[in-house]
Amino acid sequence: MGSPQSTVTNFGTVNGTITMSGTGSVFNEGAINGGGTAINFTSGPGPFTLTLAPGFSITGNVLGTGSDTLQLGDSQITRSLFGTFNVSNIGPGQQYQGFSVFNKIGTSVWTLTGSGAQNWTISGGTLIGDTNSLQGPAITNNAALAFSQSFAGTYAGSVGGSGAVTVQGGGTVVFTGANTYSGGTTINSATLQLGNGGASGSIVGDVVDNGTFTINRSDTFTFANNISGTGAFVQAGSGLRS
Amino acid sequence: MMRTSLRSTASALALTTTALVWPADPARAACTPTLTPSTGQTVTCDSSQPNPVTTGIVAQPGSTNVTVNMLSGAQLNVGGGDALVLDGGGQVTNNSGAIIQGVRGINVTGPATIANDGQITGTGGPGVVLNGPGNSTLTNTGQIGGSGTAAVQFNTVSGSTQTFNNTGNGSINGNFVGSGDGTIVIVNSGNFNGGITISGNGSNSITTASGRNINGQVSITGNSQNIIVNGGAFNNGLVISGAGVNDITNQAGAFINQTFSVTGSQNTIDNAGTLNNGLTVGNGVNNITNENGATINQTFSVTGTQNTIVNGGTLNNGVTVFGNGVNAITNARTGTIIRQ
Repeated sequence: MGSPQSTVTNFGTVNGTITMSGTGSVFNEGAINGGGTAINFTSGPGPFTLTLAPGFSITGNVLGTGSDTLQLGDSQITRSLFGTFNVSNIGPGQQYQGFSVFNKIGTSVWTLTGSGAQNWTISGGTLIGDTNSLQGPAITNNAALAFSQSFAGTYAGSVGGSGAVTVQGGGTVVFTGANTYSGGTTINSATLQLGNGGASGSIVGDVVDNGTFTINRSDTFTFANNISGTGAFVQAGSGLRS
Repeated sequence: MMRTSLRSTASALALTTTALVWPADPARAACTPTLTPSTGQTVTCDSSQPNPVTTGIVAQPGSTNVTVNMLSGAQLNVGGGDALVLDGGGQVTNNSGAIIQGVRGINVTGPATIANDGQITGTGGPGVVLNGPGNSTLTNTGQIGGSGTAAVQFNTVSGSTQTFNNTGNGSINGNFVGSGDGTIVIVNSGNFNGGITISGNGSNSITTASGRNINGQVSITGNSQNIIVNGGAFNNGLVISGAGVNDITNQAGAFINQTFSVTGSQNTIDNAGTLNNGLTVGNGVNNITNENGATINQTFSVTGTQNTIVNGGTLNNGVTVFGNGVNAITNARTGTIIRQ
């Protein structure tokens, strides 16, 4: 016989540890009060998936096998649309250990806080973060991704996929990597800057500029897409814009 | 010669020695018209002398549709054999104040209808033995007791349904034992001062009304189909083994105390009450629901190939699922799972 395949769905309260072996998943829209360990997948072999819904609560560590999936998903009971997750709690020694795949699923809107470098895959809804919580070198955005911040920060990775990116919140976001997402870019009361004086930092697709769109590169850079909106455009680098 | 001599003596000393003489003489019994009825005959016992009647009522071999009426105050008390035997079915009414007592009180092969509002006692076996074939019903609003393993014993055969209604002020003082591949239906809204043991590969239904108890253990073996609805209390547990199909409902306000263990090929368990000593479910496909407001105390463990567990109440010692099956566990918004 094979190993067990288990699905645990929690809308209520669990006081104690959820321990699973084999393969399976946990969906949590309720409270898991685990004390030391809230969820333990380490008996394996896995893989396991933990999906969190808006309004969830977990106290205690969540221990994955090393190759497990952490997902931010939709509420099934309260239908609350908005969730918050602190990515500083991901990683060795942190609350969420042993996860290597990070997904945003469903139609919900999740805001990431803290600091983390996860490579999120956004398949639905909106994932909101900033240049601290979104440091993953390869983010796949097939829905909506927003950098929302009031400060200046740099995203050095690459956002790909078919989704759209929004920059908002009054701050400045500097893209220094080659971003290939194809859903376009919207700037709302904020600044998006391509490059930071070097020869990198790009996007593809059109830009709706309702803030400031800045190109700050040292080389000759061709931006061949449309720029619309009510915002400003700034050529800040030493290079040439064509 | 002895019989004639005794009768003569009785006539001479009738005023002073009737009690000593008449019980030995069936011809003078208070059960009329005969103690050996044939097909379609009705035997009526009353409180006239001799009372008690000490010779059993034994229907003719092969006879059917025999009726026995024990009127109030009538007593049938047989020391060396069964008190009442029907070979091929019929009707027995034991009215309030009437007593049937024998090594086995009543031993009936169905189809039969037995209504007891009096007292039926087995001194060396069950108070009532009801055998298949045929559909038969035992309704008890009186007292039934036995000696040994059973107060009431149903021996079924495939295709027959035997029903035990213990209701009103009815009390069974001893165990119910069932066997065979037929259908056994037990409805308890009375006093069940014993347990239930059923073997065989038939179909079984046990229903207990709100506020009513089964004080002994309920144990079912065999590859049977079992429907259990508890509205009262199983005070000494419920154990179902075998590879059968089980549908068990513990209603709101109901209790299952002591061991609650189910092993079957397919088990559906719906608890809206309280399981005070946990729940162990093994093998098979299991659908288990602990409703909003319900409680499972102690160990709750499930081993099966496919397990669906929904908790809307309280699991006071968590839930453990063993084995290599496919498991889906949902803790509803009202649910609380406490892992000790």
